[in-house]
Amino acid sequence: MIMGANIGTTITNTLVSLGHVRNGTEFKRAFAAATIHDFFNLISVVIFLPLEMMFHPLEKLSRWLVQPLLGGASMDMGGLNFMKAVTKPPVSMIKQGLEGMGSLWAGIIMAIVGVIMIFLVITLIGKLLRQLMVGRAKKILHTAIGRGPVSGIMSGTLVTTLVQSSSTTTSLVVPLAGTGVFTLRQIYPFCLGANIGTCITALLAATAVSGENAIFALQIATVHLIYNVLGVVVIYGIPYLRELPIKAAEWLAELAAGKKIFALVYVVGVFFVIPAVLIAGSAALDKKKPEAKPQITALQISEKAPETKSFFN
Amino acid sequence: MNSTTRRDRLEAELRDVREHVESLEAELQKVVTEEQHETIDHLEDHFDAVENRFKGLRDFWKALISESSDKD
Repeated sequence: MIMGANIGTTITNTLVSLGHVRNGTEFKRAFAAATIHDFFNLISVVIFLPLEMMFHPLEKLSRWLVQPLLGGASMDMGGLNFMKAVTKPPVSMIKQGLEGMGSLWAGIIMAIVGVIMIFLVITLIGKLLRQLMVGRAKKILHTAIGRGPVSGIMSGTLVTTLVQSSSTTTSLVVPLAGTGVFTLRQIYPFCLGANIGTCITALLAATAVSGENAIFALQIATVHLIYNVLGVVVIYGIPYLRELPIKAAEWLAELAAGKKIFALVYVVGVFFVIPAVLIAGSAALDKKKPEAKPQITALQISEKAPETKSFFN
Repeated sequence: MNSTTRRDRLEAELRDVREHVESLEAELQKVVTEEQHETIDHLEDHFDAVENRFKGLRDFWKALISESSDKD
């Protein structure tokens, strides 16, 4: 799922790049800048998915990293529930307002209102964060200019951690590449940094989870981080592999600039058709299997360390 | 004697050209870097591109339709 999420999140910058369609050269550069991230993530899946299925390196490494934390002090803020103190009065007010409707309908209405509020708040927070963090993001990017790929990766990580969205940061660089001010090779490490930065958000969120499932949250967030860091180390570290996303993105951009239909086929194919086919295929395979073995990962850790289990309760 | 002088002259000219190319490359790099800093100064303008990605998609669709109708 994490590998799929990495690929899925790159659709935003690909859509942004399609907006440059009016100018042929600009479109070619923007589309290459967007798809370089897609190709990197696709290559990463091609390398790590079979390895994980055969040898479980990510699972083992994340378990090894999370295990020492089991004995540590609590990281969650459960005792200091600031949000509850703020949200309780308006919730009670709405509850009182819906008292005459019966508990079922009042519950349904409150659930719908709650979901709408969550979407609205997420959108507003995203916009606010961007406005608040744009100054800092600028400073980071100014510092990174002319300092090489490692600095590019670091700046991508930091900016993504600040704006809490890898699609926003990678979409931001698409117009920068489209105008030709930044080259594809300069954009590339920044996108890899965005992959890492997005995991830090998840890792922070995981530390806020308490109870039985805290270990699962922390382990899955750690798997995400290890997967993306290893992806950068392996693919960007090996010169031959490093060139593959650049060449693939340039080749596809050349095709798409010549005939727009290739861009459409690519977006529909990579983000909709292939995932649908794979889901259908794996569902069909699952049906054929007599009985699947239960998957135990993080749970084994908490069972092996019963004396520290209370940390997650 | 004559050929040595000519050779020295050519080598000196080549050194000059190399130095000139290097200084031009450094100047170009400076201009590119300035352009990049200037673009980053207007980073907030590009946030609109993220917000308006579906408008961009509409433009792309129009271009795609016009491309396919041109072909017909």
